[in-house]
Amino acid sequence: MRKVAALVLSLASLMLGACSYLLQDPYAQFMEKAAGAADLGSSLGSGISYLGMTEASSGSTTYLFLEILASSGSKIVKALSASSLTLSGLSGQGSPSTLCAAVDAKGDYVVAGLAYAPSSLAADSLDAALPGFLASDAAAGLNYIFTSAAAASAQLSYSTYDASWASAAPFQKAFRSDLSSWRLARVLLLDDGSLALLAFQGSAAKGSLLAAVYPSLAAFAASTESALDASSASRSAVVNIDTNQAGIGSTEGLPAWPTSEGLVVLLSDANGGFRLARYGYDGGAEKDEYSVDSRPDAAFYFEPSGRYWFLYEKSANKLYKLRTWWTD
Amino acid sequence: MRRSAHLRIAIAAATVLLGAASSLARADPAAPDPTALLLFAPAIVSDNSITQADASDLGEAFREDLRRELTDQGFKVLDPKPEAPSAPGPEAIAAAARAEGAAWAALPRLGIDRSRLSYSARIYEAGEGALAAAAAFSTFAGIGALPLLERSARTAALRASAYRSAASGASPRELIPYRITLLSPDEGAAVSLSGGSTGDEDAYLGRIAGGRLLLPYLALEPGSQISIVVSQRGKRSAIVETLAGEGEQTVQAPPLQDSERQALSIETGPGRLLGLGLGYRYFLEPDWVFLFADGRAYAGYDFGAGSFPLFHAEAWEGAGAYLVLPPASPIRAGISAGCGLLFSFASISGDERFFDLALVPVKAFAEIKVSGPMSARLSIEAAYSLGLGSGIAEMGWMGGSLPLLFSVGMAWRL
Repeated sequence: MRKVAALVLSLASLMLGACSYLLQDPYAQFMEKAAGAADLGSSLGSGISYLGMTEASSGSTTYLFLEILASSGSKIVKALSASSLTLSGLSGQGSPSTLCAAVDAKGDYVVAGLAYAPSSLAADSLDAALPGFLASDAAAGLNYIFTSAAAASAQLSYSTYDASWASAAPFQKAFRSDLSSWRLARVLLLDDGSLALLAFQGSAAKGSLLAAVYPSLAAFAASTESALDASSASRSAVVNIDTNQAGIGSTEGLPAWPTSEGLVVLLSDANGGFRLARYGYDGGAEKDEYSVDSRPDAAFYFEPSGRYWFLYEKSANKLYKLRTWWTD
Repeated sequence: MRRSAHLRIAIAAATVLLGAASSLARADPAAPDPTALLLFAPAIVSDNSITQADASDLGEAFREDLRRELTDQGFKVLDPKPEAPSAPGPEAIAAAARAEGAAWAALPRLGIDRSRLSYSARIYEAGEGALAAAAAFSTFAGIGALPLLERSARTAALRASAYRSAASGASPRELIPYRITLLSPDEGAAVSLSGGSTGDEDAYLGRIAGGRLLLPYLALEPGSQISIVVSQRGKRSAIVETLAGEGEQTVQAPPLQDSERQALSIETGPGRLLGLGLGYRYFLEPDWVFLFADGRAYAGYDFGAGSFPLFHAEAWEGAGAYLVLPPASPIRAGISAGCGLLFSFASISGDERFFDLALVPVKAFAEIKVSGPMSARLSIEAAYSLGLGSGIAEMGWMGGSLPLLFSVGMAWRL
């Protein structure tokens, strides 16, 4: 019976593979998911290196912040309209320790240590240094800065600031005790206001990704459990990966993105190609995947909403906005 | 010896044989001595580049060689009377031989031109003056020619002996006494006997007139295979195969098809199923070498969540050639090369039109004839995108996980 089942599964897999091949676009398969495209070659100039992408919304405006390393060595953040992919007048420059692109409790975009009002994009300085990830609770008038430690740590450190960034209160939570030290990789608010934390633990060869989703920033702060503990987070996923395959340790940061629809991780195929795998928060089982093996030069970013993702071709300076493969 | 030469000799031999056979049938068995042979003095034509004496010596040597070899083969060699013609034609030879009671006559000839010697020994059947055997050669007109003269004399004597045996009914070979009629609707088409796979040249037999051609007499054994080639300018040659039978034979040749000068095709393939490709070929060398221009319009669409059709319009141009098997074959194959101008359109914000350029260093194709001018075609091409900034195809081989583009389609010869 098992042999029959295995045979049926093999045949089904073969047919699906053949079907997939028959429908594979000979140019760029991902372009069938495209919602927008932009040639950034002239606006970004030459001699730059890509660092990362982050999306942040204030009111009805959503910007995609493109972080690049200029030939001078300084980090630059360029803000593009997430819908039209056109460059806005908002940009920032700073040292790596102060670079941040998010929205604070007042609704200002905070980019590289400066706050920008959404309406005027006028820059205003911040008193507080921002050496980490910003997540804000507009209703409570609180800004949370999660420390981005370069080295793994047993403690998760964060500080809260009021809306005007006037006062700070430092906090620490121990990471879940059943595992050793973790490194916080991403902090972001999902569409429904829930807080997603992504941490990485492991060596250069093997490692684990832990994504934990809390109902809100306040719920996270009020929790007495250790950070990223499954009992305190409403949903969580632990994904064991081959870190070499995932390219972890590159300058572009951890190639994993928590979304409302699951954790997406970039993985290498056995044949040297790349695929994007989506894991559910109900334990970390893989839900589906999408091959991007024809784009080894690309960098990726997934919206927290899970509706769109971005593909940036570094050599061609081209940016594509794409629908996710699980969104109709 | 080439097959066509064999054929000519066979035809000549068969003609002579038939003539001899009919002559023998009419001959009076009591008249000439069937072994007597009248050996004429050599006929010498010289430009005086060597002395007359030397020329005469060569002639006499040749004559004596012939006398000796013919005697060895059982001929009773006689010398002509003094009044016999010195350089007779076949009829005169036959008449002189009959007058002497001989059934055969032999005439050596020598020609000397700028110290070159060309010579022949001809042996005639006395009944009607038919040529029974001959040997000829050429060499430098000197003492070195003597061994060659001797060898040619032996060859001629052996051939004459063989001919005499065949004429007396001792030959084991049974030749077919009928001819083949070829019917063809292609008026004026040339007909030839195929040289076959040996590489021999085709032997021209004639042209179709009034829808038929009565082939010249072919000396063939029953059951032997005959390949007849029918060809006409602007059309593909046809090969008609038949077996030599026991009676009169009429063979029907198929109508010749026009050579491929232009062709149209439609095609599709993996990744291009939602659309169609149209192809045009113009042949620089009919049936073999062509220029092509292919246009394809299709949508890339995987029917997956979040996917929308991505439209492509492509123009591929280049040149190619058939390399395998002749035009009339049911299967043919070849290669081509060229380049493609590739346009893509997406219903998206921002950039929505893209232009790529690709090279096709090699495209292999195979065609299988379906019926009439229609063939099924399978193609495999390796297309290399130049990765223009205006496009969406990265620099590299196109085709996704398997970097080859496959196509299937139908082609029509115009």
